Amino acid sequence: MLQQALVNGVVLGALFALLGVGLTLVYGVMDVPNFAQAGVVTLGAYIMVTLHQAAHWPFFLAVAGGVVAAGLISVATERFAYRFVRTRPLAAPAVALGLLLILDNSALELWGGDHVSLTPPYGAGLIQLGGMTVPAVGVALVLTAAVSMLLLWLLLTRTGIGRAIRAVSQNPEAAATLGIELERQYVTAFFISGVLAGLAAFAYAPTYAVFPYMADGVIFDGFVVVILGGLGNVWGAALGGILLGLVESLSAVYVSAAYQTAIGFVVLLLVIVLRPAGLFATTARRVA
Amino acid sequence: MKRAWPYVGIAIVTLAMWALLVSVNAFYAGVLASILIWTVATSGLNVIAGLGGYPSLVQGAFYGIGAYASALALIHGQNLWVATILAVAAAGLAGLLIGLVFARTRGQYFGMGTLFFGVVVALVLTNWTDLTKGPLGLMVPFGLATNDQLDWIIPLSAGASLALVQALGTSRLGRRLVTVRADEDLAEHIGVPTARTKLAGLVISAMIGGFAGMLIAQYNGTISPDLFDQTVGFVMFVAVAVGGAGRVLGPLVGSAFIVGVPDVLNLPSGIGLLVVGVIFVIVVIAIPDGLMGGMDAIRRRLQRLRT
Repeated sequence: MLQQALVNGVVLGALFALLGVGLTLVYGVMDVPNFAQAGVVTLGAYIMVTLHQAAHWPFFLAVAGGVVAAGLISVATERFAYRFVRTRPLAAPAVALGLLLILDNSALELWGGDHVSLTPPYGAGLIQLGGMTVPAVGVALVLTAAVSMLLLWLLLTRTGIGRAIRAVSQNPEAAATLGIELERQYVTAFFISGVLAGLAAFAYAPTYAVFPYMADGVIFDGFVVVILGGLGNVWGAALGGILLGLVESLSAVYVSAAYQTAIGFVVLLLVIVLRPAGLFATTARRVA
Repeated sequence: MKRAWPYVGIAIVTLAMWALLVSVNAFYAGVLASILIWTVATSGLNVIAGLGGYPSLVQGAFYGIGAYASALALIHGQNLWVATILAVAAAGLAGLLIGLVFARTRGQYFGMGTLFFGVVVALVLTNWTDLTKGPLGLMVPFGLATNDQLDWIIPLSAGASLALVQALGTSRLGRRLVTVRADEDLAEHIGVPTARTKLAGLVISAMIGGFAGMLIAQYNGTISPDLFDQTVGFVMFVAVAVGGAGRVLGPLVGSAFIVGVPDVLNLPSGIGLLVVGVIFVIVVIAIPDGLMGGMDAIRRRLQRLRT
């Protein structure tokens, strides 16, 4: 029971981490609460389903197509909307909600409201892990999250692109003075965030169903993760994701499944009150 | 005398709304009543989010607490006066609780904290089936003598909430809230008790929200958790932003826009919400101070042309 709950928690946490890292990355460079990320996940999932089932692309090629498309949609939200409200923190949530309505309802218009499923070739496979049963899709989810985090870490710490994003995240004015093109970093951050949303769609869709509002609930958990980790802190978000996944899955077993999300709220509450800058706070805000 | 003009304006608007409500057909009367009830709820939000500049996303929960508290009181045989007082008190208590926890947090942390509180209230309304009957919702006993009485109670409530925000804006609490919005650190330095100011602002927002909840419960006759979930709180915040945060008539204009446009266009839900989303984004981007701010800007430009 406990072991199974722990395993479920890690699987759930990997999903939260994928969402939270994308949200916090955007938060770091631009200070917008990107609720529209849920819509990007939805469209990414639908594009994967369509490429795989209607256009008969091989599964992983369809997934890659969906991931790239999600990245581009995310960039489009920045180019067509967010960039105009960069300096207006009160306007950003309103724009985010508008974008979420646009993305979700585009999915509804294009694909209808029925639940469809994205079935990977390893679909119903089960893996025995020391007495516990783990669905193959769960293993794929955790692997996807782990590999994405590793690649993101390499990108942020070992490349010029990553350095530039971190510089903008820490201090946009200073970064601009040093000749870093801000616009390009905004676009890059949104693209990465969109790609992570696409990966979340790939990780999420086989376990749950694909429908227009599929990610609207889980995006809230993504935001709890962002706060747990500290706004703009990528590694904090990754760790916070796993932590929240474990807390929610344990409380579903030992407290009440109906109030699973509420337990997440209690954790959030404790963090806000006791450590307002996040669990892994350092003095300066940073993105890596 | 000069201080009386805004109230005269609000009284005229209220009378116009009442005249409109009793003269249009049932469909438009329904749309207008929804707009006016939303005006009450978002006027409440205008205190903490408009005057105080704090992104509270929990107004939908206060609205729901007020609706359920009044409905339960009526179900248990109380009259509408008692039900209304309980609705306002219950919502105010929830506001106090949230305020005590979050009044020391700032900006986006406050936003997300309140958003999550809205999620929890929606969960409780859905899952505490002994009390709330869960997702099916409650039938609300009608507390007035005749149905027609709502035709003047609703516009009057909307007008009263606008007047209350006008009065608050010029009061000491209102000026303190505006100082907090302008620069919280500086406000603290010059001796404004910022945490207490925010707490008071939030409790007032909550109480007005609870009153609006009583109105919608009476108007609808049935209530269910989905009328009050976190999305509602979020959309209320958007309504204040679209109308013009901190402006007295902002909630009326914003509610008319957000509730009225989808209802009057009457599009199938997918395309309808898609259009609403596009309109939100364009309005928020194009008119930084909301629709009321936009009107001010136009008026200033006209005056400059004249001189």
